[in-house]
Amino acid sequence: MNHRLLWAAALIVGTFMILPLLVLVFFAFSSSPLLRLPLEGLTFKWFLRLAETQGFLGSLTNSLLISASVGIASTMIGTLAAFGLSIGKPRFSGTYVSILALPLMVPPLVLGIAFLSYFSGLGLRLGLHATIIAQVVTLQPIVILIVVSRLSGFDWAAVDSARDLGASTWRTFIDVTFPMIRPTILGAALIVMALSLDDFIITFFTIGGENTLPTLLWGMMRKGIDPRMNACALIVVAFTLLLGVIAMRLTRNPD
Amino acid sequence: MSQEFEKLRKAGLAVSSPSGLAQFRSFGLTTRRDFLRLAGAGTLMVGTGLGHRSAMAAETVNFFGWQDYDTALDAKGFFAANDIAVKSTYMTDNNEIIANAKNGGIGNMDLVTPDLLYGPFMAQLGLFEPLDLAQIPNFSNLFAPFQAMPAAKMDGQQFCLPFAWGNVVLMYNADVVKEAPTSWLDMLKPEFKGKVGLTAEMSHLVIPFTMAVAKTRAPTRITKEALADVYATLTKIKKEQARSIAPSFGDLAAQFASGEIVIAPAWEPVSVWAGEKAPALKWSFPVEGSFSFIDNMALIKDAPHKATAYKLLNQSLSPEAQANAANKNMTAVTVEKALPLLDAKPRSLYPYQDVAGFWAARGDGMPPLWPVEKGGDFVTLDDVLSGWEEFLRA
Amino acid sequence: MAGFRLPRSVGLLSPSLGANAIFFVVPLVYFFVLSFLQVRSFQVVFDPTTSNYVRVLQQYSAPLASTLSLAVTVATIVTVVGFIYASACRFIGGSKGGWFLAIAMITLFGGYLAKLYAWRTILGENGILNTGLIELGLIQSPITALLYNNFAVILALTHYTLPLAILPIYGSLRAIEDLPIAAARDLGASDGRILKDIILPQCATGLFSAFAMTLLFVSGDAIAPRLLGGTSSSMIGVFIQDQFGFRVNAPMGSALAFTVIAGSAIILVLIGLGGTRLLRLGARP
Repeated sequence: MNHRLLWAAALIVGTFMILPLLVLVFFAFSSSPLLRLPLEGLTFKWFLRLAETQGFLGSLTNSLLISASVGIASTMIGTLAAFGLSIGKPRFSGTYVSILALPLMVPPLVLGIAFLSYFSGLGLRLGLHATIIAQVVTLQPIVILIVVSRLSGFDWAAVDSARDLGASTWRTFIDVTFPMIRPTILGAALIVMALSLDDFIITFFTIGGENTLPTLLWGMMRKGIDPRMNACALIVVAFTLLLGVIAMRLTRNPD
Repeated sequence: MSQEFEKLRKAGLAVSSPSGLAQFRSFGLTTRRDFLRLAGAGTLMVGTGLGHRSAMAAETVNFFGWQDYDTALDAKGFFAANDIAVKSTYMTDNNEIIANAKNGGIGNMDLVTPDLLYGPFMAQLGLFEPLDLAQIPNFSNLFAPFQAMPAAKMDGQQFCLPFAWGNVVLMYNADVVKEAPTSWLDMLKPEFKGKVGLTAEMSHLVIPFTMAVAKTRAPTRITKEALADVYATLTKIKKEQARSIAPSFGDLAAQFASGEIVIAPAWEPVSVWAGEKAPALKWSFPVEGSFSFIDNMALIKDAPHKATAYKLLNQSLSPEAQANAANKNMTAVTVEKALPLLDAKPRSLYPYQDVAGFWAARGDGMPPLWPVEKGGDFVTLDDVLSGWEEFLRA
Repeated sequence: MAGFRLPRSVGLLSPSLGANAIFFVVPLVYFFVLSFLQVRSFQVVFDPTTSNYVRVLQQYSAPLASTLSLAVTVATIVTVVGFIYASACRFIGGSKGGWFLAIAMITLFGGYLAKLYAWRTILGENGILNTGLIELGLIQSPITALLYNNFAVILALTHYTLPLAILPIYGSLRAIEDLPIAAARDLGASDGRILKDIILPQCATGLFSAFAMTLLFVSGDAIAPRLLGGTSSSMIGVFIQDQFGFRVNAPMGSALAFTVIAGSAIILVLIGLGGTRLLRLGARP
């Protein structure tokens, strides 16, 4: 690979990806409510106004709670499934993947209504738990797809040799397999958490009378340009960055 | 074996001890115990979601409606004083009330905020509880026209409580547009090419333009041909004059503020939402007639928290809550006693000098919804929606 | 000591399949059945018919086609660009590769709505791009053709889905060992050859996952076109919502939804088959 070309490409694409976030940060501190240049002054007032917004704290808590639960549950279930697919008979894996990936194929609006009808039809109460279940079902295919991609070229020799040396299945997973695919699993977990944090269509239908950050922001849209959105986005970015760093640290090789 | 060992060593799993024997190592935090701890914490988090979340307050109510209509009710610490916790999900479209209520919301939702244009339709679909006015003594606070409004009732029962209102007016950038426009059709003028704003709110476009194009004061009782003419005009404006279709009125305000548009059908609050640095926004009530929206409080059928909901319904018609709503949202109040409590800005936006007269001039207040069933020459709601979709696609 | 593999794989799969079956398959089957029923006076009546699907194809072919073609466009761009970026992350030596990956992960967050608004700020008439270009003297008056059209929608959706796509591609690239590549290079193989014969076949799964996720996300999306698209709105999501809402016609809404699903499925199957042919898969190392 021509390294210089790759470097250039990566820099361009990287800048493209980061740019809107920089815009967010910029305007979160801009004193003018109009989102345009020239920049008039810097201020923290949007953050203060956001904190004062009734329902903000509740939405934030709900978002974090749902996102964390969904992230953990989907990653666990999805990783298990990915392993099942990888070590099972290849003949069936295609079918399984299709069935498991079905939730990804349905427009979120329909999924939302489907879950709403289903939960009420069964007499189940709506709420955070309903949203968590709905999101786990919808998002775990992503974990499966990501982990399966990683496992498709996985070298099972290390696993086999550990087994040969007498390690139990669990031990082998923890000490051999997991470290090798740790970044992939963590990445999948972070993606699921991001998508969960961002989701508002499915949440909208299943949460039964509460708000998450996205539904709060969506509702704010009625009244117009709101730099509080940028302040909110900045908080979310900072928060998840922190989580990501912690996650990476916690599971790192201690030497 | 050495090749495997090499692999294991690379994975950080094995080290060679000084004696030359292979040894395995385990990572600090990834022992089985710690993994289980992590899993346990995760399950606990899911569990707390599954369990019944104990509310801090004694009574909860679910609210599915416009943002800040709920917080407006909390005038002078009403919620705390009455130990009420309002759990809100915010909507962006009346469509969503129907989608939610019809597909499983009944039995799960309490308060909603329908527009009075669609209120009767929703009542007909059986989505609402008839209101027991004995539990709403503040009902008598309403201006007379709102108390009498037929659209809020069905078969002699009250289904909706008029809560806030406003008008669809022809708003323009007074810095750029020197002469006040007088007709909806002014939006077709060549000088506004590319500078016209539109929103995705169907009734706010179709009804005023029906008044202008079909020249009728009963805009929801028209023939197929008339409807086709209306949509043809709207499509023309969309294709030749408009910059985009704004998804919300807040967006429209942003477009006015940045100068991208100079004329649009809008609400009075838009002039405030555009911000202090925005150009001077004025509006006129076109000669063909204009249209108003009235947002209501309503109760969904089989609401799980009726008693508490009634407290809020009553509160919504109190002068304090009404003034709070107007001051926050720049909407108009439906209760006379709220007028002295209004701030200067929201007060200046509406024809408060003679509310009764204003509404009396509008006949029964709201035009009735387009007929929902076929029969006769007039187009049905479905025809209008169908045409709207085509309009969006054009 | 391979052991009998089948029961274990079933065990591993069961939480996923179970959750799927109970909470997803059942309601979806209900809606599928519903799509064949009709509505009279706003109540669903049991009168099985295919008329809903006929109406879908008659009235909604244009928006269906444009939604799906937009989705394919974005998915293609994202897969190609994602592959290049993921390759950079994988093959650039040292910790820099990790930094590039970290940037992709950071971009994941920040909120969908907020990002869409950021693009409006960037592309608008008085936006950053235009004011910047005017300041630099490159243009005289603002370019209006940046916003409120398909270009803006594609740009914003590409930006949003790129980090999502990079992960699976990176995952499968990681699985490729350095050794065979180094060996091939020692034997004199060109970069192009290495790419075609070693790298691409092994990351086929990752590429397909990235394409599929992006395609499905975009075809179901209705917000970006509303905020950034022009006056010609033709994304199917809005119409589905109307059917479940004002038009009180859940069967029609279901029929629309399943048609979208079928369309996406057909595209994915075609891509899958075509891709397999292209990369000559089946020749496992």
